[in-house]
Amino acid sequence: MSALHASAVVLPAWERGGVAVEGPDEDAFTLLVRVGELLRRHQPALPRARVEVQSIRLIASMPGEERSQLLEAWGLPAVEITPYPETPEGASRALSDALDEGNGGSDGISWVLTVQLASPAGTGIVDPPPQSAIAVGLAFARGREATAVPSPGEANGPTSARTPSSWVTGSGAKGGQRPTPFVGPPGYRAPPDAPATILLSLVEAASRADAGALTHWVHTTAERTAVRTVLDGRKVPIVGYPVEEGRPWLAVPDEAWRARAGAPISSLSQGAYLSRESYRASLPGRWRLEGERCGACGGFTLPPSGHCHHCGAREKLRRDRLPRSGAVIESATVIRKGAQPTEFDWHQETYGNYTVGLVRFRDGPTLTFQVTDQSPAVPAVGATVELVLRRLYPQEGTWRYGLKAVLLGPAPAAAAATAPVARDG
Amino acid sequence: MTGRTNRVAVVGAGQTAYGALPHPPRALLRQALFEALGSVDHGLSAEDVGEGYLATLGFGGWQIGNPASLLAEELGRPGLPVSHVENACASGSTGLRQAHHALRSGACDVALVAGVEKMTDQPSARRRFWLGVSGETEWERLAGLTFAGVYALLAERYLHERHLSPDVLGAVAVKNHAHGAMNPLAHLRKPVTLDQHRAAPRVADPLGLYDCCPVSDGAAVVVLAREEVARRYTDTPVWIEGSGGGSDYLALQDRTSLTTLPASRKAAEEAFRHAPFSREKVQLAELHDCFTIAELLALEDTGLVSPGEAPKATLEGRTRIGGSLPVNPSGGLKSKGHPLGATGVGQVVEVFHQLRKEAGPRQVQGAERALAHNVGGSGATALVHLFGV
Ligand SMILES: [Zn+2]
Repeated sequence: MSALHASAVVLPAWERGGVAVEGPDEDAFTLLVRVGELLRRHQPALPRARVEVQSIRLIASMPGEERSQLLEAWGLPAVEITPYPETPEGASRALSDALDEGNGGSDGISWVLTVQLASPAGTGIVDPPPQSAIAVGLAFARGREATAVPSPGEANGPTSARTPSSWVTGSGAKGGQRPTPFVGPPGYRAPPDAPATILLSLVEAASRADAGALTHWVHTTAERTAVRTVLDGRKVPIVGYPVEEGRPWLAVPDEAWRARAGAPISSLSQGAYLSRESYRASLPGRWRLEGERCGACGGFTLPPSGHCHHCGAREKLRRDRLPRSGAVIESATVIRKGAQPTEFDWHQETYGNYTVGLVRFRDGPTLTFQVTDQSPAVPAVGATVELVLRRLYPQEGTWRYGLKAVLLGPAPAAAAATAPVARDG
Repeated sequence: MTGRTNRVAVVGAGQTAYGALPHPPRALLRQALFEALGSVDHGLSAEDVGEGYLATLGFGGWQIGNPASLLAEELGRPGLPVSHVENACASGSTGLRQAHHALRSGACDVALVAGVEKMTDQPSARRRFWLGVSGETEWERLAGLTFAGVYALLAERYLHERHLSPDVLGAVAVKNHAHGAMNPLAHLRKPVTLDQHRAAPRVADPLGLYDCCPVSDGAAVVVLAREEVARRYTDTPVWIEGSGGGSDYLALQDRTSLTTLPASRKAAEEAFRHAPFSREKVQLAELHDCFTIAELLALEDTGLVSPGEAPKATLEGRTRIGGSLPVNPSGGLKSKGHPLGATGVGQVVEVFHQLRKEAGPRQVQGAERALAHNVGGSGATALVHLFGV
C-alpha cells in the first residue's frame, strides 16, 4: 500500500507571465534540484528515500561527483537514483516502480521527479534554450509510514514562495470541504501524453478524488502502455502494468562528456581557468555553502580549510552551512555585451545581459553571485535574496553549475541616489 | 635607512607611444629601451647596468615564462642578471620597487626597469579571456566578471553610499581626456564632454565606455642609479623619495569595504613614512585610473585629499592641470592608455619629464614633488612612489 504523500510543481520564472527575464538559465538538472528541494522542505523528517528520476539525459549521464552533490543538495545522504527514459513510457514506468516499491513491503518514501523541457532538438551540450519547462515531484509513502503520514491535501505545500498556490494540488478535503480543483500551471503547453503531464494528471486526480477509484491511462501512439492508478480517498494503492522490458536506460559514461561534440570553448586554457577537478572539489562550498564556523572569533570560512580565514585558529572549527535565504546584495552591476569573460559568451549571445552582485550573509562572508530571474534593469543593491542552483557556463563538454541569487523583494529605494552630484562632498 | 643618504635617482626614462601599434612586443621593448638610454644626458654604457627587471603579464601568451632575458638581449648584454616581475597592472611599479631595493642594498650601481605589453593583436574572444586573468578566478570569474565588472561593483557601491550620480565619474573622464589630448604619446588624444560620457554605451553599470581605459600596446623603460654615481649620468636627476607597497585579499568579496582600497593606503603610508616631504606638499600625481572610479578611490587612499573629498576636489577642478593638485597630467590610464606591464613604468616616465620641466604643453608649473600610484587588479596589490628634484 502506498499513499501519495506530497507533491510539488515548479515552473521556471521565465515560464511565468509578467517577469522580464533575459537569461533563462535553468535546465532539467536545476529544475530537478528545485522540485526535489521543495518536496524535501515539506517532508524534512523523512528517514530515507528512493528517488525515481524520470527523464533527463542530463541526470542520467551526469558524472558521479555531480550526482552525489545533487543528492546532498536535496538533503538525501544515501539514496538510489534510478533514471528513466525521457518518454511517456519512462514516466509510466517510474511511477509504477515507485508504487511497486511500496507494495513490496519496505518502509520509506519514493519520489518520482520529472522535468519536461520544450526545446528544439539538440544533442550538444549547448542546446537551444528551452521554450517552456516544468518540473513535477511526487512523494509516495509506503509501508508503515503510509499510515502515519498526513493526508495528501495536508501534505501538499505551496510549490514555492513565488508560485501562486492555485497551481498546487490541494484537496482541502478535511471538514467536508470541496477539494480545490487542480488547475495546472498557466501557460504550460505540454502534449497530453508527455511525461510531466502524466504526473500532473495524477496530482490532479488525487486532489479531486473524494472516494472510490480512478484509473489513469497513458496512451502512446506506438503502443498502449498504461499505469493504472487506483485512488482510494487519500491513499493511492496501485496496480501497475510494467512497461515493456529491454529498453535501454540512458547512461553516458563520464568519459563521454569530454568527447561530446558541440562544446563552444576550446579545452585549452587561454587564461583564467578553473579545472574540472578543482571545480568539483569546491562543490560543497559552492552548492551547499558549506564551511567552517570559528569558535574563537565567530568568523565563517568557505571552503572549509582547517584553519580560520579571519583569526588563524586551527581548533574549535565547526562544520556549518550558510543559510540559502536572507543574504543582502551589497553591490551589483549589469554585465553588458563585451564585458563578459569568454566562458560567458554563450550566455551573453543567447540570453543577453546579466547581473552580478556581491551578496553579504548575516554573520557570514560576502560571496559573488549572478542575480537571476529578473530583468537586469531592476535595481538590486540592498535587496534580500534567496540562492538557487543554476547553470553558469559550458566548458569542456559539460555545464558548470553554481548558486545564483533571486530577489525576494524589491531593493529599498536609495535616498537621492540619482540626485545631481553632491557638491558638499 | 634614512631617506637622504642612500637615495636612488631616475637618470633616464623613455617610452613608446601607447596605442594600437603595428610592432611586436620585442620591437616595442627595444624602442622604449633606446628612448630611455638616449635620454641619459651624459650617456650610459650597457656595461654600466648591473641588474634588469622586466614587467609584463605576457598578455595573450606572447612569452609567459622567462621573458626577462629578452631585456638583456635587447640591451646587448646577454649575461646580465634579470628578473621577470608580475603584479598584474602594478607589475611596472613592482619592478621599480625591486630595483630601488637592489640599488639601496648596494648590490649594483645602475639598474633598468622595463615594462611591455602587446594587447591589441588578440582576437576578441582571447582578449576577453585575458582581461580577467588577474582577477580572482574561483568566485569572481565564475560569476561572470572581468575587471570592468569588478570595478563596476566598486563604483556602484561608491555612488550608492555617497548618493552621487555617475556624472562624478564623467568629470574624471573629461579631465583625463583633456590632459591626454596634450600628450603626443597618448592612446586616446580626443577630448570628451560630459554629454558624451553620459550617452556612451554601457559596459558594466554604472560604468560606460568612457569610464574604461583602452586596451593598449606599449613599452616603457627607466634607468635608475645610486646617488654616488647618479651625477655621472645627469646634472638633473629625479630622486625617488619614497617607496611603499601593499596588498589585500584578491577577491572583492573578502574585503571589509568597497569604497577604499587598503592596499593603496598601506603603500602610501609606507612611502611617506621616510619621505622628506608630506602629503600636502605633493604637486602632481599619476594615479591608477584604469576605470574612472579608481581615480576617486586613489585620491583618498593615498591621502592626497581627505576622506570623502575626492568627488568635490574633482568637480571643483583642483585635479586639472592648473589646479592645486593636477592628477594624471599624462592623461592617465584612461586616456594615455594601459599596456599592463608598461603602465607603472610609464607613470615614472611622465613624472621624470614633469619634474625636469620637459613636459611641453601639459607641464605642471613649478612641479618639484610628485607621487605615482599603481594598482594590481582591483587592489590585490598596490604601490606608491614619491619623487623629488
Ligand atoms: Zn577565527
